[in-house]
Amino acid sequence: MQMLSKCRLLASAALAAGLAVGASLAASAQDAAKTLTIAISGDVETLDPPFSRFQRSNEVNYNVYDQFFRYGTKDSGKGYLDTDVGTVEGSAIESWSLADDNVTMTLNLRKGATFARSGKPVTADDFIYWFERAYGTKSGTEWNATTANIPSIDSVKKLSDNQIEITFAAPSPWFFYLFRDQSQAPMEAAVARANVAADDEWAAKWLAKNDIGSGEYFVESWTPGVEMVLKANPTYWAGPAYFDTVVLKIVPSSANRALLLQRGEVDIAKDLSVDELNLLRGMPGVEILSAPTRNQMILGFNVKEKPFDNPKVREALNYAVPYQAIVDGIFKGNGLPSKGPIPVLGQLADPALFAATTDIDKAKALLAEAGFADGLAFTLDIQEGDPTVEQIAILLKDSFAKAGVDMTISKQPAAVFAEGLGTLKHQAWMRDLLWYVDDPGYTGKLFFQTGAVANWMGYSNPDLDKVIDELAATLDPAKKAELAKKYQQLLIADSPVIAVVDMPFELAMRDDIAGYVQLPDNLLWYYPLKRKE
Amino acid sequence: MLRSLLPWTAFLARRIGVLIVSLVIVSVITFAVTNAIGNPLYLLVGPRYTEEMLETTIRELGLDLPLWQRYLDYVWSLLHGDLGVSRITYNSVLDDLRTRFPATLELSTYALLLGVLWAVPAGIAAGIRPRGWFARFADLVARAGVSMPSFWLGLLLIYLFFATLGWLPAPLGRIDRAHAGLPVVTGWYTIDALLAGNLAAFGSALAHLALPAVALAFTTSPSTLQITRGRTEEIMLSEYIRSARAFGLSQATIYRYALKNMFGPVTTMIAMTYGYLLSGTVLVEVVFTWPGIGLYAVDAMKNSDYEPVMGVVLVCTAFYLVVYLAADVLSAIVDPRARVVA
Repeated sequence: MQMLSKCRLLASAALAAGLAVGASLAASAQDAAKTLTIAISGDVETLDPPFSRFQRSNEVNYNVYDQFFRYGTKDSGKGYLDTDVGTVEGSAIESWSLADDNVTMTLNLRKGATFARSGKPVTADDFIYWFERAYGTKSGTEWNATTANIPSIDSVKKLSDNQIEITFAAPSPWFFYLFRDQSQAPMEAAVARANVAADDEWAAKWLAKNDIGSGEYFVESWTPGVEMVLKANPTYWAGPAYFDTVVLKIVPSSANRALLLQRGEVDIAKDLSVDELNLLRGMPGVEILSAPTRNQMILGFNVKEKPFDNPKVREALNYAVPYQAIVDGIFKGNGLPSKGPIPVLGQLADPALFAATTDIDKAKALLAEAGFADGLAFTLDIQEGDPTVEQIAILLKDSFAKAGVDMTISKQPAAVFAEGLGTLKHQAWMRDLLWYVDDPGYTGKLFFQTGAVANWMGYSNPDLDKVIDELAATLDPAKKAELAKKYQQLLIADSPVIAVVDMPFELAMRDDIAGYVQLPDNLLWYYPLKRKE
Repeated sequence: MLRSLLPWTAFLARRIGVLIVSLVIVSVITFAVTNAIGNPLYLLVGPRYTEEMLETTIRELGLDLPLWQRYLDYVWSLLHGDLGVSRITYNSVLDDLRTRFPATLELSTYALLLGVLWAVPAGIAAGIRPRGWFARFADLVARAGVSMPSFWLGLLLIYLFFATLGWLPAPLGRIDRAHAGLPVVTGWYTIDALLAGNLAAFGSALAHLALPAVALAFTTSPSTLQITRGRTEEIMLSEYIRSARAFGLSQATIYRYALKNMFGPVTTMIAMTYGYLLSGTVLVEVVFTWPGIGLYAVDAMKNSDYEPVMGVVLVCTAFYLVVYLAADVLSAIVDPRARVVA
């Protein structure tokens, strides 16, 4: 009897709780139409653009800061807009002119642009401060500025309240590409200066938690581990965004992100595994957007150590990669088989230069020539927590085994994997390489030049170094194309890395979300998104 | 008076001594292990860096100092109440723990209460009639609980109560967004809601707690149930209960004597379960998007972000040791034999 009354008590308590939840859901449904809810896999790391090395932070920064430039767009023919990296439009910078000397550029600031929080106009002083901070913090933005041939703050001058002048050290083919990056955007200088501390002259601690941009959105609230709420900037120069609220809801379990999307609790679910995307395909109310990209999965070798110090071994493995099987088996036919060191969609790619196809016999023959007729064994390091890399690694392992190559897959925590890359500790590694700057010279400077910061192969070829240096200072399209051809030939011959697959970018969303624009860095731009009426 | 206090002082001094030594050992091991696994240097500088950036970051992280010196520096700041900052988010670890620890504590406590409310009465009932139908039923439930991973049960519950029946809210944290502005006093949303007199918020917090608490209670209570049951059986067969029965003492008196003797092992088991819940909720936190310390520690570990990892381990250890101490003190109050310093 006592048990029974306890049950009743519990049941009525549960009912009361359920009713309360129901009431609160109804209340929040009213403004749901203009609220975009996105399920993300983890917390946003930092709001300070120069210190962001993470895709989630980069995405928020892209949306709360107004970058110097942005790319133009073109219709993909598949219901979304694609970026056209051949055209550049002004954003925080409205117009510009390059003098005949090819190194002096005048930049005119966007008229009427204001900071989202204070409503104050964006002035030349804010831009100058941004440059000062880039050099002062010694951060990734400094790298961007110097790579764009703007070596120091002395190269930047304020002409008037709404005009600045940049003097490049040499013609700068990558200036626009680099200054559309999420980190290249003015911030409200007066507010940043007001928040410096004795041990923090660039207010880095404060700016990690606070945004002072002039972008499409600003951060309204941030509950670490729970959610970040963005509000549309009412005074954005191009007009306020359609969605007045964007909620980034942290949902660590990818199965839950998929479930919430399927149930319509969120509008977009990010970071789903290929398996989950495949499960969601064709479900009512859900749409999987699939865009081909310049994001390659790269298998890299430590060319300073055996067996990969032998170029023949690296060449042999080119023939043991199951290019088409990866596209079909893992990406369900989306994406493209890689054709060498420039992504197939790259402006200067020449896929015809890449002769290798999946040919196990040829791989065996080349291995025998290299002195490995009995096969060889090596360890491939990958970062844990990324099912796509893991699945590709497994397909590679199977295919390599047929050629007598025994590959052991070793999964490492993010920090350990990154350290191994930086200190050349991996025998072989695999990760994605996103061509957000569609120029082989830029990628060469970053990855392939002797001693480059991300030369995780220990690779060096003086001929290629020369080609990359020339690419870095060439504006002439015909000469660029010629240099790009050389670049591809040299890298194909040396094979310090093998591009395994050009991956698609796939995003799961509700089918009433429209206006998607595919950015070259796979960041989600909230501004153009709309809800179909 | 003084004589009666003496054993207590010795007992407490010994226990607190053990607590401090344990904390030191745990901190040394955690520090050594997190440092041995890797460092966040290259993750922090990203792929685009200059030599100067690398050197600055090495200095900031203290990687130019020997490990023992870094440990001593850490302990020194610890003694000044400074748990450091996360290298990835720049958040103060103390602030992070202040918001996240109550989340885990609230969930663990509800799960523990739920588990105890079931396991102790059920254990006693099963122990009194070991061959009865209830004992068999309790045994079945306990077996299911032991063999089922809590996160898997959590997923099942989500599919049933959220996805299929729609009775409970989406597994999205601790409270509905409509109540996000709830003033934080204790960090326990159920208590804060009641303090604010907001019944709707209370209902929402409770509804969010229901499934993860049930999943945890179901999978962690079997050990308490078995201990209670075993101890009850043992006591009911013991000579002093038999004698009490022979003397014709009332049933109530017999149970009072029996309960007193059960107290020690059962409270110890409950304290251990509490400690386990606190550090073992990680997977359930992932499944229910519960912003607690488990998720926090896992994220930090992935990035070799030492300070948050150290913070979580130390706070959990300290809490566990305090709960364990409390259980010991309670046992010692009930049973003087437990007070004897060996």
